[in-house]
Parts: sequence; structure tokens; C-alpha cells
Amino acid sequence: MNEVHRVIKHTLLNARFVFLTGIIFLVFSLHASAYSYSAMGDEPVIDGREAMLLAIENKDVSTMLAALEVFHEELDFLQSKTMGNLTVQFKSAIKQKDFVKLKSLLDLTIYLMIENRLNKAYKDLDNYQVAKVLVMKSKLYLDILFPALDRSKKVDALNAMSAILKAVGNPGVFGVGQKAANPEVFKQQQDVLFSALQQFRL
Amino acid sequence: MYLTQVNSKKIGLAISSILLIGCAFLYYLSSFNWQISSDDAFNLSRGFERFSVLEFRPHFPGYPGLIAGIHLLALLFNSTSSEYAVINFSILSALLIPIVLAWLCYHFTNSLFTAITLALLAYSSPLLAGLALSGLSDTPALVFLLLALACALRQQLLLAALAIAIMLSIRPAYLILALAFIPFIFTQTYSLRIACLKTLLPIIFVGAACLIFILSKDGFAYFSEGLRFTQGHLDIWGNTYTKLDRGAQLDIVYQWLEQLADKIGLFTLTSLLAAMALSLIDKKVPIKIASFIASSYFIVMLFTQNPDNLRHFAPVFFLGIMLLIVQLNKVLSLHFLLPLIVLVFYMSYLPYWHNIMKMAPTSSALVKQAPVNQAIEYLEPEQITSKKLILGTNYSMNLISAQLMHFSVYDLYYPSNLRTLDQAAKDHHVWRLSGSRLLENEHQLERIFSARFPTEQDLYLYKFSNHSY
Repeated sequence: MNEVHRVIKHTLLNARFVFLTGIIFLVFSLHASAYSYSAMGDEPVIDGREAMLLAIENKDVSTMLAALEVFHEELDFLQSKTMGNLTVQFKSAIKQKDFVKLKSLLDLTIYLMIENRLNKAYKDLDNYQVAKVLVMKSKLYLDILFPALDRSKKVDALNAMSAILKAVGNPGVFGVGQKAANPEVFKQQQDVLFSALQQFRL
Repeated sequence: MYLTQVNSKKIGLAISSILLIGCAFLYYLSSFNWQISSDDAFNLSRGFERFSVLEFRPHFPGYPGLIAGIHLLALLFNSTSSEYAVINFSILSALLIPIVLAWLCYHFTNSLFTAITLALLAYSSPLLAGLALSGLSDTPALVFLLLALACALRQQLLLAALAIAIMLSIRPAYLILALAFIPFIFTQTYSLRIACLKTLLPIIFVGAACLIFILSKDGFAYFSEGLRFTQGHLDIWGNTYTKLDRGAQLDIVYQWLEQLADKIGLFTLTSLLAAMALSLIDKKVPIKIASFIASSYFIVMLFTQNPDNLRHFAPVFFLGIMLLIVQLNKVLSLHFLLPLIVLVFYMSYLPYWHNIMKMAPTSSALVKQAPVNQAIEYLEPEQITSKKLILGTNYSMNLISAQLMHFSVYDLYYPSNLRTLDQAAKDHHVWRLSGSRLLENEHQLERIFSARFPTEQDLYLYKFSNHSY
């Protein structure tokens, strides 16, 4: 009887092997993974900037205009918050084939995205989730401008960003590990960061 | 009584022998520089300083078990350096892997000699040394995987599940290994309901503790970062925008086999796979399940992991050599076993040393640093004059950027940055650090930074000429 029991057990076990292997294959063979911390997710400004820079390299005006379409909504939003009509400035630079101006405008757009997101995060400091995600998104934009900075400005920008992230605080769970946001430090370090990035303001 | 005493003596001698080999391994590791050498390890060291997955301290999914382990060890050794804390934990775990492997082997074969041979084989593998110095989650996760296996074999389901839970908190990418443990539940003497309960309880407990810890630091924003990271993980391969299709997946399998044949050796690879296949049809259910765990992970790895990182192969390698020894022990007497194993061991080394020899001129002396640290040290003395120093890389971008602050370091993930380098080469000093040999003739190969272990890859430094653009 024991022998029969053992045989049944082994047969079942083998069937389970096959079944499990099938399931595992189904789940895991559907996609492949890769590493990239730079992957921004859905960020039209980054995608548009990238397309624009490649079009500049090929001196391809129609692709430049197409690239502009990718982030024109963001440009409209930024211009309502800041100076001048950015889309018009982009179009005029494309028309004149002023590629140096075009690159500067792209840097300005990245700078304005950082500024805009940090300002919004400051207003939303009482909502940890929103503030933290906005600051981190602005950090990813900062990474794009980072190589163009000289050493001292890099250090200033990094320290300021680190202090801003700390100033957002911690949400905690049931009060444990909770740390309130510090708006004063946030504002102060935001100014340090903006002054380190001054070269990108036109 | 007499027999027990003899046994205890023998076991004591075996443990001493393994510990002695472990000391020799540690001495060997001490001849290298213990430094962080990848962005992942860099993120972990930042996570040790302050934990926030949103800030890449460390990157998603956060590795809370690993961070806890690093803190625990740092407390024991009163260490405050985040770099050393991360590497120390990885090295300590690497030291334990052959010990647990030997324990498992003894359980399967009841032969102390075989267990010691396996420990020797594991300690002398260049893969283990590479993993130890990587400062990543592989070695501690492997220790808990092997502990889980050992506990499951002794019918200690609760402890096995606890080890699995800790393994997942250290390295969630080992989920497939955890799933492959499910057949063990059916081999237990308990009723299925109790067995399931004993399995789930520790996993829920450790999982909840990890989640609470992460949420206390990042809140629910953690999930949005998870979505972003996973999206990037699934859509983007390495440094291209290309989405993977079926053909590309087969390409990855081919790349894996090529990598394994090159770095592990075709003979060793075939031996491991043959041992795993033989073990799958072994009469003993535990051996069958151990092989099932290694085989299912291997197949999933071929399709889903990056072939550039040989460390993903580690679970297959260590479970594979254990099964190899177990199978060899069945068919050969001990006198024949040792020379055969030594042969396999050297075969596994051959391709590795062959690669090193190709890498003149640095091959004459022992390369103490990882390729990326060699590159940083090589470029560090460069001084800014009227010309800027510019470097483009798709390898350890964040680590290099943090250590070479006087350089403008561009992430070659963005294709436009390569154009920026080309343009800048007219007026500035421009280099490109690449993980593969470039075909372009216009870039002058300035230096090759050799890998120390098969887990690393050679890096090529190219200097852009200033006249061709």
C-alpha cells in the first residue's frame, strides 16, 4: 500500500512539475527585462528634446517641427507661467536655422520644467506623495543639464537638491518614522539650486 | 558511542578544512581593492546612508532585507563607511555560500570528502570572487536560497519559508527560485493546509515588515516609482530605445549561451546542464526538486535577464556544481572523483585566464581594481585647461559622474549625447568609455581596462580626434 502511495505521490509531483513550469514560462517569457535608470517614463519634453537634437544634427527642419509638436502642450503651459511665447521662439529659431539658439531654448525648457515642478512641489509640501514625486522628476531633469555645469556649480546643485529632498520629509506609517516637511529649507535651497543653474536662463 | 565520536571527529575535521579554504579565499580577495564598481552598488551604498527608493537610494524595488543586513553588519563592525559596509556584507555572504553548499552536499551524499571537494570547487570559482567584490544582492540572496533548501530537506518548512522570505526581501528578482520551491510543500509530512500555512506565514510577515518600512520612507509614491522603473525595465534594453520582439528574445538566449560558453567554458556548462538533467530524473525527490529549482531559473534567466551580467547565472552555477558532485559521487568511487573534479575546475578557469591574457598590456600585473575604477583612476589626473574634459559612457554613469566631478559626463542612453561628444571634440578633450569594442575608425582606442572576474566586463576608453568633424 505504501508503495502505491509513493508511486501516486511521485506521479502527482511530476505532473506538478510540468504544470508549474508551464505557468512560470507563461508569466516570465512574455517580456524581457533591462536596466535603465535614465528611462523617464512618459515625459514629452525629454522625448521632444531628444528628437529635436537629432533633427538639428541632420539639419532636418520638418523633423524639428514634428519634434516641437511632441512637447508643444508643455511649452504652452510653461509660457503661461513665465516669459514670452516659447513656441514662437522655437519656430522662429527653426525658421532661421539658428541651431545654437535652438539648443539654448531646449536647455531653457528643461530649466523651466525644473523650476515649475519645484515651485509646484513647494506649494504641495503638505501632500508628501505629490511633492516628493515632483521633486524627483525635477531631479531627473537636472541630470540632463548636469554635464554642462562646472564643478562648483555641480556641487552646489547636488547639495541643494539633496537638501530639498530631505526637506520634503517622510510620510511614516501610523506616525512611525514621520518627519514633517520644512518649507523654509526647501525655499532657501531652491534658490541656491536656481542660482547654480542660472546659465540656462536666457 | 565509539562510532559517534569518530563521526564527530571527522565532521570537525571537515568543518576546519572548509574554514581553512574559506580563509584562503578571503586572503585571495584581500589582494584586490574593495571598491564599489557599479551603479547598482553605488545606489545601495546611498541607500545605506539614507533610504528612499524614489531617490534611487537604492533603486526599485528597494532591497529592504539587504539594507537591513548591511546595517546589521555595519553595527557589528562599527563601520560607518557606506562603501565598505556594502562590500563587507557581500563578501561575508560569499564566504558562507560554499559552507552551506557543503552542508547540502553532505546531506545528499553522506560523504564528508565530497562535501569538502564541493566547498573547494565553490571557493576557487572566479564567479564567487566576482560576486563577493561586486557589493550586490546576489551573494546574500544565494546564502538564504541554499539555507531554504537545507531546511526544506530536513522537513523544516517554517524555517525554509522564512529563508525564502528573507531571500526575496534581499533580492526580489529571485522570485522564480521561490516559486520553484512550491513542490516541496507537497513532499512534507504535514497536511497540505498546514504546509501551506507554514509556508505563507513567514512570507506574509517578512513581506509586511518590508512594505511598512518602505512606505514609512516613501509613502504610496513608491508604487508610482515602481511603475516607472518596471516600464523602463520591460521596454528598454540597455541603451537603446528598441522594444524587444520575439526575434530579439531569441537573440538574448543566443547571447547568453555565447557568454556562458566564453566565460564559464563549454565543457563546464555542458557538465552542469547534464548534471541538472540527470538530477531531474533522479529517484530521490529532494535532488529532483533541487534540480527543478536550478533548471526553471536557468530557462527563465535565458529569456529575461541581461546577458551582460554573468552574476545572474550564479544560482544555476552553484546548484549545478552541487548536483554535478552528487551525480559523480554516485557513479565514481572517491579515488577517481578528485582528479575529475580538479579537471572540471581547471576547465572552468581556462576561458577566463585566456581572456585575461588577451588584455595586454595590463595583464602582466594583478589587476586590483574593477574596470570602471581603473577608468576613473586613469582619468582623474586630467586637468581642465582652456579645454573642457568630456566623457560619454553607457556604463556605471552615476558612479563615474559622482567621482569625476571635473568632467562633463554624458549618459549615452540618449543618442543625442553621442552627437554632443562628436561636436565637442572640435574644441575639447573628449573620451568615450564603452563596454564593447567600437567599429568606428575615427576614435582612437586609448586604453583597455581589464575585467578581474568573469562577472565584470572589459571597458574600452576611446579618445575622440579633433579634426574629423
